[in-house]
Amino acid sequence: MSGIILLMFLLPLIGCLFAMTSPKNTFNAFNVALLTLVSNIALILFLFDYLNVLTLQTAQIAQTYEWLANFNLNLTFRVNATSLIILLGIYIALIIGLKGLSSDMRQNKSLILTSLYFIWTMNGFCIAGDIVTFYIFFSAMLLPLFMMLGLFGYAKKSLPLFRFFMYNFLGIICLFVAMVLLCRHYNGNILLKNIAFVDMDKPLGIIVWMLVCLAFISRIPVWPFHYWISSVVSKIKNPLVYITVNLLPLTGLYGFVRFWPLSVPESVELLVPIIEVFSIVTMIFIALIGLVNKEFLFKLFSYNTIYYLLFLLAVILPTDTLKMNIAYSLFIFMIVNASLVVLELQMEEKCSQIGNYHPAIFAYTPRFTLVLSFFVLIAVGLPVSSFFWSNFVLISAIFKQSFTVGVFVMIAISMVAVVLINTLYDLRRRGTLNDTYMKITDISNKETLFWLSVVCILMLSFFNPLWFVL
Amino acid sequence: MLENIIYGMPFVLSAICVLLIVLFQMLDKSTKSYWKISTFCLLGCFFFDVVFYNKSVFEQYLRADYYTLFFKGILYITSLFSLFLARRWYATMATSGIMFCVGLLLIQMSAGIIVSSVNLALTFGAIGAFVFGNYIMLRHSEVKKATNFISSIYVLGALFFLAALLCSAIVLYADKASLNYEDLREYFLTNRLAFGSLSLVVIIILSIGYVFGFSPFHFWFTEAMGQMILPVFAYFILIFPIAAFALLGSLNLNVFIFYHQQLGIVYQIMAAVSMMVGAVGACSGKNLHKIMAYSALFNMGLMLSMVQNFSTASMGNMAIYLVIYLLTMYGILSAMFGLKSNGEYVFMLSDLSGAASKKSYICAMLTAYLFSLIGFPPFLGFFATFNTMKDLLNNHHLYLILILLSAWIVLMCAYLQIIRTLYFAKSNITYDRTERGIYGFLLINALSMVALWFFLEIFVVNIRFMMEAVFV
Repeated sequence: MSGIILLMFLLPLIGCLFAMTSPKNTFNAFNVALLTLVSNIALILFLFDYLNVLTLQTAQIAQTYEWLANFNLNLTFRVNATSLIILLGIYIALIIGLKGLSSDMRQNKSLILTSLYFIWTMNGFCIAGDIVTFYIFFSAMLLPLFMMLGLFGYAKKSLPLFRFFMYNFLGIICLFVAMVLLCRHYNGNILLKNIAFVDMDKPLGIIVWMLVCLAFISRIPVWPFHYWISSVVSKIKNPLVYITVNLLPLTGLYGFVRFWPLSVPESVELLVPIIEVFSIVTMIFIALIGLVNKEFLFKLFSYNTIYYLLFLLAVILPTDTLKMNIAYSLFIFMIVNASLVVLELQMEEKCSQIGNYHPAIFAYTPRFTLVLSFFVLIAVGLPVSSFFWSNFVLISAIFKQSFTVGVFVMIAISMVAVVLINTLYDLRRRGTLNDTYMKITDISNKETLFWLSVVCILMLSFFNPLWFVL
Repeated sequence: MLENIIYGMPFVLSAICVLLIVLFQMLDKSTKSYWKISTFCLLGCFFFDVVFYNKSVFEQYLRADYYTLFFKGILYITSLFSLFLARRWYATMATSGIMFCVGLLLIQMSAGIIVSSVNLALTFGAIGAFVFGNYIMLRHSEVKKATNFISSIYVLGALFFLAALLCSAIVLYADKASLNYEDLREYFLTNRLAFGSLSLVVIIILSIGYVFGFSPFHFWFTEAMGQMILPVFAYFILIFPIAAFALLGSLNLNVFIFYHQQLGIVYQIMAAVSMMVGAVGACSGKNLHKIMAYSALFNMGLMLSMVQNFSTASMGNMAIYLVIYLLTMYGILSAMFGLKSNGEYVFMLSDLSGAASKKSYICAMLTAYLFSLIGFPPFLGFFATFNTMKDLLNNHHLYLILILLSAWIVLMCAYLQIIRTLYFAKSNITYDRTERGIYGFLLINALSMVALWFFLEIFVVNIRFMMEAVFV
């Protein structure tokens, strides 16, 4: 079984090496990437099966690699249900992103290579079992992301990109210092589950955990640092790059999921009110910006931010029982987000071909209308997927912990739901049919089938979030 | 007698080869045999130094043990690497490389003596020869008149500090009647409270700092690097840290051990200033050579922060960092040798504009090596920085840690500038065909680093074992 974990971990890197040898301007690299993702999904499903559905919440498989055994620096990988669900969501989202690429971009080897490298780092990050491995992949993912943004995602201005990188680098430095301090005190590498038991003085412990929290917070667009990602994300027109960049807040959130609350000492509870305040302020602020802004990608960014912060508020609750709900929600969230991005960018491309940006297209594209509406309904949390159930549980838990926080969370979520539904309203038919708009081609039957199958996966999760585990 | 000849073969061989090069050149100016002679000389010296690693020809003056084996080994590998790349450069530029070869052999020989010496007079003499070799290389590197000026400034400063070293040696000899490390250690033990002794030690350290380009004496180093031709630049940037830290390690633990508290402050100041100046200087440059020179200054400051602990454990950590740094620099320099346009090698940052679209493999490797240099995982440089931070924490140098972290952030900006220029800048520069040897070098270097990652434990254990042999 440890071989399976190793294979799952290394498969994207192997795919990367294969893609490197493929000729330029062909679909070979794209096919390699697709095959890699599908193969890894198969391995994940196999691992789900192995973990035994009955004991899914507690079961895990670990593998240790002896790197520097004499110096107590071994690397551990640990797989459990939470990490597998999140990885599965990431893979499906990336497959959707690959599907959304134009024919030119599918033949771009550099994009595929950087994507596969990024996927490998995400793999390592999600299954890291000790602090050193965790840090290695937390940092390593920044390089491919930076390259993807600079080469394919962000057009002309390099200053926001530079700021994006440096801001994340500061977060990496924070985690690096915390990691070295922990390793020094423990006299070697330490498993994530044992971190709370490291014997440190209280002031030093607070410093270490502040650094850890800062490192994770730096990945999430919390006010007043939300600008670093919004300025970069809102200009991306490549769906794969957009989806990849929007996975960055997930890494910050996942960091909290891994550490909180059992791996964190009591002294860190001082930070909880501060995180809550900043999260709520950001949620309301971003929701208002989403209401005002007319661009759909910006609205989607506000939707992403608010939901990431909702999950963050759920994570820092003093209970360990919500992690599976958070994982289920994240699974649906990533897929819905990816689908909305791809649909939107595809339609923008089609509209720009007739010289109009987002006319009242719903009348002229019934299949696209159907698919987009479904995804928006799932996104706003209507009871058509497990997103509804999981969010219901999370918001209830937040209300139970603090009524005030719960109220603000509901206000922000409601506002962003209005934002998304308003988008549908904006796209409705207005007046008589227009000859120019009739030139817009609807999505093909094959594509419709693809999207409906994704919708089916999501809707079946309403009955059982892990229905795909046999 | 025969044994002594064999053990002394490296020095004999170097001297003979230098004479042969000069002789052949006098007989036939068009001959390029100096490349083969230099290569043969280095390989021969390497062979003798490795096979007879624990045998010395003049044991009262020169040592031979694992410590010297380590530093001499990386000296030879570095020199062979530089020679290989330089040969291609000179062939492309159609100029004579005889001065380069002579300078290289001279520096190699003097660096070897610096590493092995256990006598202060011999050490200072070797430093003098090292300075002379540097001067030859600087004068040979006369791309512009600026280099001429810098080499003169360097020599004047070096002469001043060599004079200071000479005076120190005379004073010590007058007091102790011996300049062997063991005798000097006893001398400093009995006189450790004397201000005069401390002053002598500080003068020696500062003189060494000037010769090897540590801050605050870095000005000639960075200015010269910014003007040098690529082969000389590559050689200097690699050879200086090897010779410097071999010398400092040996002197610290064998001679100046009783001044560890006072010298620690001097080293800390030099390390802190080197790191900050290196990071800030790298950010402000548009000259690629200067950016890398300041980066080298930062790394030398980093290694100095470990040497200042006066312990074999810290020396081991420094040696680990040095090897990983050298491997990374081999890669970066190979990439620089692989990028040329219309017969001119890259010199300014703007020469790299949009290179990634035309030389994707080289630029990808350059990017990876730069990230390794800054300590980004999953590259090997991550372990080097992790080890360094642990060393600083273990020795409670908190303010150095803060300076290091600040300098890292600033240095990252400099490297980002290079990567941005490589990938995101648009230009119409066309690059010449790169030799297969460069690609081969890059690949071998990358594979070496990957292999080292997997066999890191063996490497770390052996390095630390070798550093334990520093004591005379």
